[in-house]
Amino acid sequence: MGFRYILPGFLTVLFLFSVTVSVVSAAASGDNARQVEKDVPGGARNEDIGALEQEIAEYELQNQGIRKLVHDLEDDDPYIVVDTENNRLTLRQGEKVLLTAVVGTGSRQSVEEETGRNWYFESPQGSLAVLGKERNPVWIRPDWSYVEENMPIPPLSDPDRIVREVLGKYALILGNGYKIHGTKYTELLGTHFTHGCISVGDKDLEFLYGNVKVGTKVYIY
Amino acid sequence: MVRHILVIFISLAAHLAVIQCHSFAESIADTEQDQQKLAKKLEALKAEQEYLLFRKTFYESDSKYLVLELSSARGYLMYRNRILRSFRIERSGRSISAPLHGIITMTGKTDSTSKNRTLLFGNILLIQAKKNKAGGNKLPVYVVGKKDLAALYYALEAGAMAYIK
Repeated sequence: MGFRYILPGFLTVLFLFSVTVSVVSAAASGDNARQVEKDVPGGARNEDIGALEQEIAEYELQNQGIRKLVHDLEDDDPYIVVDTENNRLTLRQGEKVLLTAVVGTGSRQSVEEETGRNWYFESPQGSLAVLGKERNPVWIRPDWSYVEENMPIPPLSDPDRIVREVLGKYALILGNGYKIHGTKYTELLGTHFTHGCISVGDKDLEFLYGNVKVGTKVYIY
Repeated sequence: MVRHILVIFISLAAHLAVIQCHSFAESIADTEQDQQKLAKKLEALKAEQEYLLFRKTFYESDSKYLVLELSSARGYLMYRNRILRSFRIERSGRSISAPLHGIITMTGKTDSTSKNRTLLFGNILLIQAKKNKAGGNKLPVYVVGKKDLAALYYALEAGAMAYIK
């Protein structure tokens, strides 16, 4: 057979080969694509992936901003939490608990004067702060203290109102007459026995005094 | 001779076409897998954003709230993003439910007896103490320690919010 017969034959075969490949693969691809669309609602398309990637990029950017905003709002300073229901005080820093102390909180009792004036002894609730720190604090007896003991109420300037060594060695001032301080009645720690202040045992009080500063947040609930 | 060559070539062509189709199907499966991965990532980012916005809102609020990490059985009583109390919270064996996620609101608290305190979050879940045998509800029940419940019961009022992570 001469060259002029072989070349057209070869070209014909090559043409048929490529046509067959295209036709068979196109038919089979169509079947596969239809099958995938049937199996997966909406099918898996490149446009969908592009849209998802764009949405992800937007969320990542937004979250980065909000994360920074939230982070900037937070600090890592220690803070005091008082659980008045269970009479527990904790000194926390982030997720760390630096101290857990059994304390005394407001008795939830009231006392009434003959004139009708009355007092309800509950620890204050909410967000407070350490406004001051005292060593060897003195107690200025308030009026209710005399009413409770059926004693005549002396004038405000009466030196009898000044009582030493009943609040322990240290006190943290919370404002409005409330303090975190020591107590002589350590056997009552863990109960509601105070007139609203938070009473703490000596060792815990010393630790607190040494580890909080003026401005430390105090959350009482 | 030419006929034989023709048959061989056509068979070869058909074989190649089948291989090509197979790789096409594989590529569709890969695309589908990629799409699922991306969709999952997007859901995670949406959840993260929801939680971040929840934290931001409550930093500026005066309300106490709960964060419940049910997967790690930890709960947190929070105030302005600070932990007031952390506690263990477990699913009661008696209850079944679909996985929970997102923000829920405390709709009430009951105290039929001091031992039977419960915190109710709509028709989503109920929190009670471990030894509380009060049943009869169809809600998923989560149990916490007695002292933890006492603290939560005292600290939270109806309307308080919780975020389930």
